Amino acid sequence: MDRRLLRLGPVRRYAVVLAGSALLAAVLVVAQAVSLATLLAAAVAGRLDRPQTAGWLAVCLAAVVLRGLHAGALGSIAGRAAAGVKAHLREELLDAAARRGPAWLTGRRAGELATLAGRGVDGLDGYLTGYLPQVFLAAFVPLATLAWLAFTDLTSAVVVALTLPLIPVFGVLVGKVTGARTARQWHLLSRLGGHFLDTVRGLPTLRAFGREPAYVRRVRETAEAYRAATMRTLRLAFLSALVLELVATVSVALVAVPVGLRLLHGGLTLSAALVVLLLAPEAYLPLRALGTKFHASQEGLAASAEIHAVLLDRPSATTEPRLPPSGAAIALDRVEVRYGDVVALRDATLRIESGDRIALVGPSGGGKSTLLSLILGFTAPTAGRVLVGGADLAGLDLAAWRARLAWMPQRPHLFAGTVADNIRLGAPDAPLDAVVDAAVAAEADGFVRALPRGYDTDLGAHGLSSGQRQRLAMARAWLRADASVLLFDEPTARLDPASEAAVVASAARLAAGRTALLVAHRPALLSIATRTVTVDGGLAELRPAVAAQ
Amino acid sequence: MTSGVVAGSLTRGALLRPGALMRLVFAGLLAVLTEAAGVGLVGTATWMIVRAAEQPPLAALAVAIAAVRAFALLKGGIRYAERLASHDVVLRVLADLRARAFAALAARRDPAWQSSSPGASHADALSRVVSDVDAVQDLLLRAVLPAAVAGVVGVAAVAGVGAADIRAGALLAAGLFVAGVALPLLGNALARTGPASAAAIARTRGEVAESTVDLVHGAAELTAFGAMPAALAEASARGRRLARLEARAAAVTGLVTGFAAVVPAATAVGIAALVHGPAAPVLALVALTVGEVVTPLAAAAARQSEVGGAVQRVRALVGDRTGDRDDMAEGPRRRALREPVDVRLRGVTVRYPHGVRAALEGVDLDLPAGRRVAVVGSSGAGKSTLLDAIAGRVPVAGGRVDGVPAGAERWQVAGGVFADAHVFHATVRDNLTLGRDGFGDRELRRALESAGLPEYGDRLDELVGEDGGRLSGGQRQRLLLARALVDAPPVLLLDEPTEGLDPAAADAVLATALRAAGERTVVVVTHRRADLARFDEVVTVEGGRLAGPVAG
Repeated sequence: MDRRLLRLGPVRRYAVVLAGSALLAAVLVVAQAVSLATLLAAAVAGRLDRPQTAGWLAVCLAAVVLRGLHAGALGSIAGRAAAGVKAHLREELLDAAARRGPAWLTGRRAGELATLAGRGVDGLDGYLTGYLPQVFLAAFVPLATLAWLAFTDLTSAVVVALTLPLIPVFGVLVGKVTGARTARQWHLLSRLGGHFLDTVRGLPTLRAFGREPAYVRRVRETAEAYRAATMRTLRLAFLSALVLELVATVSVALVAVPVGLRLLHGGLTLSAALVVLLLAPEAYLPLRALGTKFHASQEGLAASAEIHAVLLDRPSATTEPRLPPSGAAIALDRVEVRYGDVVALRDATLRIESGDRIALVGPSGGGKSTLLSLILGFTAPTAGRVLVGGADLAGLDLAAWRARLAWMPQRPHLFAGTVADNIRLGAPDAPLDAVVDAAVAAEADGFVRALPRGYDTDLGAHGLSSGQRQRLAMARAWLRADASVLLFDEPTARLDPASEAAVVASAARLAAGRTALLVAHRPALLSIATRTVTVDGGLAELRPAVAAQ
Repeated sequence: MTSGVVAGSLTRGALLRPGALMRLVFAGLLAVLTEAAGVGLVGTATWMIVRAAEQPPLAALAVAIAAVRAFALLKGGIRYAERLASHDVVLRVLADLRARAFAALAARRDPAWQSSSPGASHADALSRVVSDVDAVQDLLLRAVLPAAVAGVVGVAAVAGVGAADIRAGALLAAGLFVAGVALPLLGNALARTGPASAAAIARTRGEVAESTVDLVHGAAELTAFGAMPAALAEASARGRRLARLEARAAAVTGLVTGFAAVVPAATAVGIAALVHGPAAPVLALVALTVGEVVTPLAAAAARQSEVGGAVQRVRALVGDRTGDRDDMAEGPRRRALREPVDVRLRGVTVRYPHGVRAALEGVDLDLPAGRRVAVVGSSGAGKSTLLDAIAGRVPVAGGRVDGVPAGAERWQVAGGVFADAHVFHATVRDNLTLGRDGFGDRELRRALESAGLPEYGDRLDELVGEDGGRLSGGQRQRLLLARALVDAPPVLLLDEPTEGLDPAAADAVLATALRAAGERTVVVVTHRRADLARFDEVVTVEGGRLAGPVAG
């Protein structure tokens, strides 16, 4: 059981429904067995035409139909609940990720989070629709069955009551013995199992080295090794199913044979004997099924632990953030940024007056992007302050502050959707005219019109070159007409001369009359700047350079 | 029966080899025996009780009592053997299909499968092959085998029950038909059609995944431009839509499951009402037990509704030639050529299937032996395609590439690090040799040193993680470079070999790589202007054309 999962609102409501449904199931199991046994006893005696029997027939049919309805409704409810819980968890995950911000979501973590929100959350199906309902059935049905057995034939009830606990006991024991070995094999299994996908993905590489014929045999050998390793694991894993099934079937035999012997001596009625025969297996069934479904739920529970790790230490909203003051002057006051042991910026102090256009130069990894990240509010300083119009950015409404910024990253992300929607990123309600104007200003209109469907071209299906991506990012900045501060992070680093010239020309026009921070390597972009600041490596020394002012 | 149709289609297209089919039949027989033991347990136990109620001498029950105990033990034991046998055969089929699918992919020559083409979802197509093969495995284990077993057990039970009482037999046959044929067909049809079809769910799931990926990878842009709340709302709306569809599909499955659950018990009740005398309980309980073998088929059929497409795709892939494709001749273990080669491109044009314009157009390039050429230009301009054309990794739509000696394959002449280079989830050694024999530790260490990765010289048997996940970006790049240097062809092609390295390291790696290349021709795609001085010639690719050499 996963307590954190059970504490979720939708899961708790679902669990209450499941408890009620299991109680109903227990009653129906007993009702069906007892009525069917009575009917069969009547059939043996040839007393089917009595009115009493007709009553039992009605009870039996009702129980059968209700069990069908119950099974159908339970499947439907379980599916609906699981779908709702998964949607809820996905929302929570994405929300938590958004709260932590882009600095947290860098590198491999983004991919891991996407996998967790996709496959990871889907893995909970086995737990929610299989294991959880079975937990309640396993709790109620054996108890109800035992109670009725005790009422019908105490001896049989004692045998069942004594053997029933063997199922969980053996289940846990066998699980303990095999679990360690299975866990040890898990990595091997997942690597061998993933080998085919890995090899297929690497096919272009193999072809480049003329190696693809040799890998045909390798694929077969690895798949064979996977089979052998899996079978080793299964021989153990199925052992637990074997033990549980043996406990159940042997127990039924243990119940049935003495019942037959007591019938022989007239110590029991046929009707009671048939009730015992029909009810006894029903006592073992839910517990055995629980064992099977437990295995299917493990993947989901592992994902659940990861999900909660992301959800739990999500930063809480800070106390009522203030709107940033209207002045656009930005200042860094002895700022230090550390990533673990690495110091990205140290003792950085800088004043940026409204209308300043500052070129940031220095070696890669020197902290230039970190500086922009600080001003964007993606990264919080580990020491010192970032001041906006004299107020500490840490206490301000970041969304309101960012509304004044236009940012152009080194490698812009293009979203699945149309070209127009991508340009509209910062101004979702902008009319198409404005989008086209921005594209014209960013020198993007030409290539956009050459795309198969112009501004309606779906970028999910159509790749663009770096130069084209940068110009779309520039158009995004242009469409944010009321932005007063521009932050450009090496927008021309990967561009050919023609694209570079287009982006620089556009940037120069956009920067006129605005505050700008330009991370640049190349002289072309530097020409826009009024000051040059060197951001120097691990030293993080900031030195205003003497430049054309 | 549906299972028959599916099983037929599995064997017809040579998806299963005769040996596998025999093993499958064996596993099926074990499963039939398991169910027979279950039916025997219930049948003999009931008979024993009904007979005991007539108070015969104890000896009359002795055989039945022994049988009850024997069946109880047999059922569990055979079940264990059956589960092992069925998983074993399905994993064998999987191994066979994987090898044959890979052989078929490797033998394919159509461009869509050959190299990465911008915009085309080449990687997706490859990944789909993998999931299709897995779907066939799942189909065998969860649908075909259970359905075949249910069919045999059902027919035998109808015959047995019918022999005892013809009306009971007819009732059982009707019940089994509803639960084992009609309801699976209904479940399958419902899952295929309607607004909550499996296809619609898969589509919506794709949209949800798209939102998620955009949201996490584009988080910086969304946050900076204040678009995060809207993106979260959109992702949430898509997630809710998926939840609604999944709930509807669950209701459909629930419907057929519910009906299927009624059938065995209703059959038993019907037999109790129809049959008089001591046979009634035995027949009713046998019917109940056999019915429970059949009931899971309805839900399974609903779940496997989309698998038909996968089976057809796998058959199309592996079934067009029936020979032992996996033993595809590897030929002599060939290495890259040793002697210098002059390569010359004349009017080379390359088109991708869905490209608006040619990726390369009328490219002329002379690569005399020993020449060192840097290729610059923006991404998407055709630099990587130029390397692919030299290496023969893309079909040339116009023009020609001269200089490949007769009898040599193109990879023996030109190769190296390409844009789509893959790091395998294997050891450093495997990633360097790619299974090529005859490279000792010394050669591998030398290649690692040349590529600037000497620290892995003593860690050749270390795993590098999925797609080199345990390496840093720079180490991954150097590993690719080392792989290219292990058996470098006379024309060494390097697509951004120093991408992801810091400038000082990039300089060092390029210098050592060029030194290791010796007298070979080297063509390097680079963005770093600092590199250009090391080359004899710098060519700029612009919109698929060579924009003329720039002085180095």
